[in-house]
Amino acid sequence: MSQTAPITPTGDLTIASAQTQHQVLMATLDDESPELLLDLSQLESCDSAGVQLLLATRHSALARGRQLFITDASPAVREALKTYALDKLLLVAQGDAS
Amino acid sequence: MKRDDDEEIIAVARAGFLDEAQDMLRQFEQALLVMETAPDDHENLNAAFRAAHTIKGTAGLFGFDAVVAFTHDAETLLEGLRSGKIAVSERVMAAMLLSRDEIARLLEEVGSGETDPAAAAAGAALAAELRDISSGGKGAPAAPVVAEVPQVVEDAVAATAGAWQLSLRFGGDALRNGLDPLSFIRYLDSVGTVLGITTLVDAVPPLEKLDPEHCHLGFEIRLDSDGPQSRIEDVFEFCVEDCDIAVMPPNLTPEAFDALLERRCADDADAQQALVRTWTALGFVRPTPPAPKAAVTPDSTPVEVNAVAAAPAPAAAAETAKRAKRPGNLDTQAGSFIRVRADKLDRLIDIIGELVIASSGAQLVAEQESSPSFLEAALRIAGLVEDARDRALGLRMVPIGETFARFQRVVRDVSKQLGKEVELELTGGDTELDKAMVEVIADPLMHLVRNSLDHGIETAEDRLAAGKLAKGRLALNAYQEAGQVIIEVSDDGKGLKRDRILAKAIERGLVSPDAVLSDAEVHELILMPGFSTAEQITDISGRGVGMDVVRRNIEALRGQMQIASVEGHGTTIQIRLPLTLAIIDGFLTTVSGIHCVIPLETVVECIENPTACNADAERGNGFFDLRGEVLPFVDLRRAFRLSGQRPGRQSMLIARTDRTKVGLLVDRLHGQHQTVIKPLAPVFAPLRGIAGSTILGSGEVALVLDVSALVGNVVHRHGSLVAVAPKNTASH
Repeated sequence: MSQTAPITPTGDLTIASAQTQHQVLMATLDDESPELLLDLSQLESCDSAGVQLLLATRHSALARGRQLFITDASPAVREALKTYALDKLLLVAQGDAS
Repeated sequence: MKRDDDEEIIAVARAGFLDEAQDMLRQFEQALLVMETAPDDHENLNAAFRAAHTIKGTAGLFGFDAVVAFTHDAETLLEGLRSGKIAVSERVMAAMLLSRDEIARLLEEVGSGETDPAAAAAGAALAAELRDISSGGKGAPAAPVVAEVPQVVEDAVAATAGAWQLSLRFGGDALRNGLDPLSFIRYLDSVGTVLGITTLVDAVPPLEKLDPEHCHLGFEIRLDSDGPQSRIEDVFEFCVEDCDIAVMPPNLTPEAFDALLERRCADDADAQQALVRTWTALGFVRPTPPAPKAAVTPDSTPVEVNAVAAAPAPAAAAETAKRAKRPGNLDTQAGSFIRVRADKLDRLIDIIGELVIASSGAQLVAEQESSPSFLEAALRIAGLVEDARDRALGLRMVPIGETFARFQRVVRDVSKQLGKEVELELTGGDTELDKAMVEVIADPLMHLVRNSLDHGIETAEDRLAAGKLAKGRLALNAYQEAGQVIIEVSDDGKGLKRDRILAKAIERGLVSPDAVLSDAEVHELILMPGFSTAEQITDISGRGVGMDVVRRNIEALRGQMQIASVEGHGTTIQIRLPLTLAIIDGFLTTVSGIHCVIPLETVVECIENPTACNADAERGNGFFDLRGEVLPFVDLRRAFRLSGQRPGRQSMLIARTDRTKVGLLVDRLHGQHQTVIKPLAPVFAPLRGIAGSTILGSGEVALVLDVSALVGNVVHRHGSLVAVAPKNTASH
């Protein structure tokens, strides 16, 4: 199991901060490790733009043969993912990650 | 754009909002009243909910927070009623009706910009009452909590087979415009339960290609809802333009299913396959018609379940298919209407009125020139102008039903207040009337309705004692007849008491004690100024405004009032109004060089001057024999005291009045003529018998006659004819 420290975005994961968070997440793609770890527990809010960013990150990770693991998520993120029924896709894997 | 412009646009939009909100309030009220009698009418509850919801939604756009907050409470209660958590009761009805008034008040405040703290406090108390009722049912009202979302097939299938299928594709700018799909999907909980949702993950590009502000999101949703379709669609009201929203009712036909598939994927076979897989996972499967009646075990696959569930509903599906071809267009009704400012319409009608005159003028010239081709062209133009006129006037016509509907509330409230049981019967609501008239007629009608409730219909005990049903009946009826609109207000109450009316009239000096009056004449006395038979002035009617005011209002519209009453059995008041105020079809005649126009709808026939009238010529009026029928006649030359040589041959025009037929003796008949009525200057207002004037195509002035008034002027109340003028010979 890789010991790469998870990336921990902070603040909001919303349309307002989409450009900034996009940069933060882009930086994670350069890593060579097989797992892409995201700790979303520090995010204060999450809207559809945020969910879309997470989906895009997953997309990119898969394209590189890597797997996206969300190690933890704040209630805001959980609720957004749950509404979209994406919690199983993005969150369930966390058990394996840690 | 300059700031002023912005403000102007907002002001206009605000006026539009207030206008629309009034419509919605009316629908709301109507639905509430239906609810009282039919609490289980689901469609009706939905209508009430929709109306409140629309008011809330638009008020929110404008930031009228007070309206939004209050309407929300009303909506919550309605939602409780809709879901059956709360039963319709006296308390609920009272609160809902009051909340309608409160919303009206809040809207008024929006319009005037003033606030009344006392009224606001009352409003707050009412809001608290609404919330109290809402929470008083079993359990709290549905909070917007996202339901447990099943992603797997079994859950979805276990739920109702007939679920709504929603297919959403949000536009690229949705996020930038602040339309977060999350909010819409959460809001779906207000119309039903989301049984399953699939986010189209693959539509989102990889991070390096992603414009993070561009929306790539799309969803397929399985929704359990009671509908109706419009209500589900309303959830997406604010994003219709940016997004492609498909709301499919349960049990799609194969055709509709295919149409949606094509709309989503065009001809892309891979995409189609992927989407069908997604749908299958949600439990939506293309049915195979005809649906086989295969037995389905509880564990059966979704394929079978839906095949059975797809009992074809051709009409609904056909509509859905039609809808699918117009992506983004959710609005079913508003699309066919356009709001036009009333003054623009008036201007149009004005111009068409002038056009009618000009066209008549052209026709006259054509006749004088005796050019057949010119005449033919002029006639053709006249025909088209007539058509244009009818249509333009039709634009102003509105059904009277909306006005009628207002009375439901009045009847309900007033009869409660008086402790009477009254059933209101509305018929002929689709009878159309000029909008200007509809507005003016509402007040007199209100007066008549209140009068009937107050003085006409008896209390339940009195009614039972009189051998009638305990529940009184008040009917409003409208219909068209002979170019007139007739509105009737009738009740089955105690009727007019002839003796008491007569006694009162004599006491007030309105008639002489020895007068002999027919029933109709006695009844008409109540229309006289200063007449009121009610022993005591009540809250409901008789607050100084008498029936004479009603009559004045009606007559100002060139209408007439008639009363029919049978003591002990009820009263019917009939109002006859002209179809429109602006233009009439007239019959042009001349009397001693003066042009007179008689409204065509009153003209029965034209005959040669009967010899009997010639014998009576110097008298000016009298009777003649029309094929055995004895009719009065009026010599217009005499009636208007016109001088001039009487032509060798005169004609008699038989006109119909509200009571009888009457002959009008004129010099010459010219035939049909379209007339734009111009009101007479105030100086001529006291003239009875003349309704207005009009300009002929030749530029000459013609007088429009008011036959009823003219005859009323001449015909004495005993039915015999006497001279109009102090002396017939006065002008000679």
